[in-house]
Amino acid sequence: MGEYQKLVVQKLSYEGLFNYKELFRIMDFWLRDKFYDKFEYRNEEYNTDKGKEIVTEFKPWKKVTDYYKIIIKIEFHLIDIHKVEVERNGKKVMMDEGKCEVKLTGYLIPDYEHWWIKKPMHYFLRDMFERFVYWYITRKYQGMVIDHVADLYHHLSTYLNVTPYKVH
Amino acid sequence: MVFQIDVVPERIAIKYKGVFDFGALYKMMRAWFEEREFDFDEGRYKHKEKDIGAEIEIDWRAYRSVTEVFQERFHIHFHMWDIREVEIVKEGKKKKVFKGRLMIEIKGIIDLDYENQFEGSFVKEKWRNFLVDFIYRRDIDTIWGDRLWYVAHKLQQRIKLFLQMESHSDVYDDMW
Repeated sequence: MGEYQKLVVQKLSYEGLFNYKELFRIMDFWLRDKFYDKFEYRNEEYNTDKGKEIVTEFKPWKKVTDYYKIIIKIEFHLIDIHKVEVERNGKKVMMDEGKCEVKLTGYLIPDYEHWWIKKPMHYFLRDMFERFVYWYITRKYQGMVIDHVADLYHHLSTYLNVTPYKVH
Repeated sequence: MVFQIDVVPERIAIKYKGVFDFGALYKMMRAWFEEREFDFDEGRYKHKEKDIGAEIEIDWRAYRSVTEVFQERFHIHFHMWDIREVEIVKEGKKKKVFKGRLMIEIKGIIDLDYENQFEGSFVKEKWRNFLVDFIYRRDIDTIWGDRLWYVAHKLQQRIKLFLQMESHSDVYDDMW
């Protein structure tokens, strides 16, 4: 397989009230909206004395062309999650309380069907082609990976009402 | 030898720790395969008693012929640790369920030439490779493979719903 080009990593940490099912659905809707295929690689849930611990790892992928594939690795780690009843708009609703950590990593995989690595000559041709002819297409899809990861990050952080503060 | 393609190359895994009704889960999954007309066999059932609780391992194989050359196959692996039977009260009735750790792994495989029709001669094998690499390439990728991929994910969602896991989502359920 072609190399995994790791392009971007975004992290998000939140502690407080949220609805995990809603957060999960928002992420799934976003992925479907952007034509990503679903891949839930790891899904773990442990009932502990303090609450639930949930570890999930998704690797949704999208074949943008016959040559390029995008993978966004999404890792959720939820610690000490327990249900609480809160009043929202005059109605009592059940929500989750605990700590939520999200990590998003964007990858671009050229030659995902490994047609061009079977022979040394093919590999050499692929390298030359990517370096001198196809570089602007590679750059375009690298930009797409970074955009998608940033968009998903903003989607999730908006839901969690997390505002990034930066000191310049 | 059957020519196989791993549609779900890295297995889909679910891990759960807590109380669960394995008998009902077993029946639900079995019925799920029967609904979809999969043939089914249980390759292994291993039960080992330990001080901290039993360790149980079960392997399932479910397969369905789609055309004369193409078959869908699932490998399901159950692994349970520290299993103890506990009694719970559900809807006013006492029920015995399992308490412990559970892992379920799902793997989806496409078998091409599962009846070995292209075996036995060099020309037939080359012809099969040509079919796989050029004639059926798009179908494997976009139709057969994609369908099996989402069927595997549907089963995973069904298990998560049964175990009342928080990360259940039905957004992709209408795919295939």
